[in-house]
Amino acid sequence: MQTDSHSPAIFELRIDETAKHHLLTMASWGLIIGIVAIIKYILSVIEYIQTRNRVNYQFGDITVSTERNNLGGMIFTISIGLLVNYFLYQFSSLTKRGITNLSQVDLNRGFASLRTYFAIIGVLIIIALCLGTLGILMSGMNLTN
Amino acid sequence: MDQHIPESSQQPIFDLNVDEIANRNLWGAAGWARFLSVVVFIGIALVIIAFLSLRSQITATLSRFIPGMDGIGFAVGLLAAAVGIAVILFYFLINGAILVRKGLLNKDQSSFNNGLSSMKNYFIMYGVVAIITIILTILGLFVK
Repeated sequence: MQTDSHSPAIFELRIDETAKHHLLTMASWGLIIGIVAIIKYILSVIEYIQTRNRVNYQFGDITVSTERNNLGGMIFTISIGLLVNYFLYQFSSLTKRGITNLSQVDLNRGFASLRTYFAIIGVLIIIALCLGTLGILMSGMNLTN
Repeated sequence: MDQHIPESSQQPIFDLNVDEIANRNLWGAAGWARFLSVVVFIGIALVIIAFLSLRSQITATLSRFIPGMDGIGFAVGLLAAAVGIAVILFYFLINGAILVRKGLLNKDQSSFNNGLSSMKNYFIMYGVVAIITIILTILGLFVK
C-alpha cells in the first residue's frame, strides 16, 4: 500500500484558485507600482530641470541645499530604481502569464524575479541604514562639539 | 492504476503546483521579505530613538521653517503618520513571509494562501501609497 508520506511533500501544495487570485492581484499591483515609479523618475528629471539653478535656500541663519545640482546622484538613484522595478515588472508579467497560460516555467520565473526584487531592496536598505546611522552619529558628534 | 507524480522540470498537465523550483524561489523571496521587514522595523526604532534624543533641535529647526507653528506637534504628527504607514505596510510583508514559509515547510495550503493574501495586502497598500505620493509630487510641481 502506497502512503502519501512517501511521495515528495513539495507536490502537495498547489496554486489553487485562491492562490491564483492573490497572485494575480499581487501581479496587477506590482505593475501599478512599477508604472508609478517610472512616472516618478520622469517627474524627478522634470523637477531637476526646473530647479537646477535654485540650489540653496536661506531660512534665517539656516541654509538648506536642495542638491538638485547633483546630476550623478539622480542618475544613480534612477538607475537603481529602474533595476529594482524591472524585477517587479518581470514578476508581474511572468506570474500573470504563468497563471493565464497554466505555465509552470513562467510562474517559477516570476517567483524568481520576486526573490531578486526583495533581495535587491534588502541589500539597498542595509546600505541606507548604515549610511543613515553614520549620518546620525556624525550629526550627534557635531551637536556635542 | 499507477499515480504519476510529475517531476519539477515537467509541465503540470491541468494545473499549477508549487514544485521544487517554485518552492525554492518562494522560500528565498519570503526569506528576503522577512529580513527586509525586520531591518525596516529596526530602522523605525532607530528613527524614533533619534527623534526623541534630538527632539529639541528638531523643534527649533521646524519653528524656524514655519514660524508660529507648533514645531514639536507638527514633527510628532508627521513622524507618527510615517511610522504608522510603515508599520502596517511591513506588518503585512512580514506576516505574509512567515505564513508562506510556514505553508511551504508544513505543506499547509491554508497558511500558504493566507501568506499570499498578506503579501497581496502589502502590494495593494504599497501601490496606494505610491499613487498618493506621485499625486502629491505632481501637485508640488504645479505649485512651484
